[in-house]
Amino acid sequence: MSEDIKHYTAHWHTSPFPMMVGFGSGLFLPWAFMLQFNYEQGTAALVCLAIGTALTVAGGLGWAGETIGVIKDENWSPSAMFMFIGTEIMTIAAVLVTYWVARLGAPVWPPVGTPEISATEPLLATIILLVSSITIGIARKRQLDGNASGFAMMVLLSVAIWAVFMVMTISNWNHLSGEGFTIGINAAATALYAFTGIHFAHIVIGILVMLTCVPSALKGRTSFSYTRAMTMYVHFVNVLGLYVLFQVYYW
Amino acid sequence: MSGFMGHEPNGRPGWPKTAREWLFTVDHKVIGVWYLIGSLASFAVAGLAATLMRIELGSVGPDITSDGNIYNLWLTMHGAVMILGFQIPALLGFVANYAVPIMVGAKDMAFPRVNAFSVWLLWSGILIALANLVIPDHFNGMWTGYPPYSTSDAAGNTALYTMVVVVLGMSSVFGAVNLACTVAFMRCKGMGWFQMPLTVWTVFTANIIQLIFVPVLAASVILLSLDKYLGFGFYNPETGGDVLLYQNLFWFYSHPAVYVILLPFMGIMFEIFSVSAKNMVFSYKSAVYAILAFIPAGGDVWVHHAFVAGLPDWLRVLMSFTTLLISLPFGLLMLSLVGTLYKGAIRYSGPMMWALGAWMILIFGALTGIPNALSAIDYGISDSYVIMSHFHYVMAVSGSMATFAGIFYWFPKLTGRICNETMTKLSAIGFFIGMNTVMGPLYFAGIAGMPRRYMDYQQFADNAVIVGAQHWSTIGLYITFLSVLLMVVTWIHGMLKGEKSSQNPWGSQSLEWTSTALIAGQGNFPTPVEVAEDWHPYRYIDNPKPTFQPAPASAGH
Repeated sequence: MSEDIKHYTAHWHTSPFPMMVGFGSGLFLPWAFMLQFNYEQGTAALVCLAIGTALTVAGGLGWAGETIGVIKDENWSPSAMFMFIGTEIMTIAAVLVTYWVARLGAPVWPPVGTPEISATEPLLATIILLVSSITIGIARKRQLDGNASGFAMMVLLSVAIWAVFMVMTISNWNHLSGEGFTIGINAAATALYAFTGIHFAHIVIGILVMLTCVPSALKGRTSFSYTRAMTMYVHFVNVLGLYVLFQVYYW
Repeated sequence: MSGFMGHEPNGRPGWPKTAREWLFTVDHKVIGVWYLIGSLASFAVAGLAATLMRIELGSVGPDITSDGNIYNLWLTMHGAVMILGFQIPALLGFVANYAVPIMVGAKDMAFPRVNAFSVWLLWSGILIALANLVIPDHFNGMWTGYPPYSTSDAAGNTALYTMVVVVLGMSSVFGAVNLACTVAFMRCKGMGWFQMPLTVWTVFTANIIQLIFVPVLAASVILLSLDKYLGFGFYNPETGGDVLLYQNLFWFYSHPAVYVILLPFMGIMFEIFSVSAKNMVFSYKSAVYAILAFIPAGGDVWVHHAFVAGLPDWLRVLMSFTTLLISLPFGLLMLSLVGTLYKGAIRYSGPMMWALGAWMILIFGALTGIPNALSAIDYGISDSYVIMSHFHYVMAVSGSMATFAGIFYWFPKLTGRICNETMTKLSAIGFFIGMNTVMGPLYFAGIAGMPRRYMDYQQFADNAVIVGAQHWSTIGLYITFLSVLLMVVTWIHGMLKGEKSSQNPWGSQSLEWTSTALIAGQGNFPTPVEVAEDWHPYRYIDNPKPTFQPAPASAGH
């Protein structure tokens, strides 16, 4: 047996990071939700949230650090992302079904008594959001040009744009609830908060995904495959944002 | 064994040696073992819940509890943990992880770290589910979680139910993406789609079904918690929502989930039937097309779960038809299984006895499914023991027997040893007789009017059919319990004292037996394996041997 083969087969590859992300996101974050909403134990929920978030973020960064630009870039990530986006579409389709069942079953839409709501702020937020498709595209171009730090800067700019969108979304929710348009008043309100909430959750996950590749890029390491998959996700979330805007505010 | 096939410097195969290598592993085989441990632990918990229910139902009146809330806890834990914690992880976790990559000649899964992430999500889900046994407000809304009950305080901790489903669903989705990429991109050189073992085809197809349908279930249960805790109104008619909508969303996934379980366990049966009869799988290509047909055919049958929910006649007729349509691909697979045995020199090994039992149980269960698909008949038997017996035969008993057949089949690769043949066969026969005694009489109880989910049947105390069926069913439980005990003893004995296995004890042609160490090490194949154009995993005569490329495999992580 050659030395290469001996070396290769003698070591079991290990990484603590998948376990950290798995238990962080799969165990502690669900318990944070249960403690907060089912048991109303705010402090315990915060502790669980902190542990879960720390494990997930630290695990994700560690995971990215030992893979991006380190292992052979097989270029399967875009195919995986394509499938993953397919599952996302099915998830959203299920919620959409509930919306259309309620809407088509209602005698008038929105139901009588629904407060008038303005679409200006969400429209502006969505326009800002869509700019991130351009910045992430530039990021990918810089990576292809071999400019890793330029790539990192454009990714961070995209993250900043999404953060602005998040602030505007929260601000809009506050305005809506202040005008009496609260979650449970009717199916129209339920749909608005559900769709914008789902999109908001995607933004949070997307920011984490984008941030994972920044430390590696600042060290000069990037992955063509990972970047391509990441940009697919960013474009998907942006298109979803556009769809949500038209569905709940204009249609 | 040649040194070439050994995966350690000294040429010997083996498992990881340190706790770090086990816990932080990214190797698909070790992850497969974690899935196996998790699924067997779930089987023990869910089986215990079933045992308690069956003892309670052994006679009229309270036997071990008079608390309906406790009984509902057992019922919920049995259904949810058996399906989500045992069956799906055993088949799409253990079999998919342990066997599939080696079967296609891959060095690992496409994304080893994502694979490890998936298994720890599974364990997270199992730990959350087990918490239901100790929390004061345990969720008792069955594995179906129908609103409006599940959104009421009486149902207990609905968030726990939501989280179990979502976390296990995430595990499934990441696992499915990984498996699909592995099969699509990592097959060894020379292996075409129609040279893949049927276990690979069935697991691949089951994962595609998971990718399409799991998200719908996840969304539907998330909406439950949003309704209950945040005041949303998706299932609340008072705010324009719809209660029945949940049933549709839930079964849109949960009926295809039957095929997620059925397909891989039929894949195991194909492996064992073919190798035991030393016959090419009968009509291999038709079997592949039949497997793929489950994706569209399985996706349009869910409405039969709501036949009694006041649907329009045209829809019930249409859905009766689409439900019956599933018989076509299923029938083709059963025909292919029978044809594989035809004129074969069948070796009745231990795994074969388990697989044969699974096959016979599957026939009973499938035949009793046909009338259930007809809405006119379903009106009379809906929510009765007939339905319960039917799906237990098809999915639970047959699925369990085939899963255990798979564990016995791959046992030599897991441990390097072989289980005692007599003990294996006795446990298979005991399980077959036991479960037939548990479930067979309940068909008659169902026809006599016994409804599902009742903890007592005082109102049927004078009905000799129902009382007798419950009595015999409980006797069957004890037989089953003993057979499971024997099976566990057989495994432990096999691991510790079993006869050392040869490299290929069953005489298979599949790569996991012919082209890697008995207990394969990291990377499976020291150098990439390659098969000829006319190589086939089920060809037992003049099958060209796989060859190896001279260069070592790439890092694989």
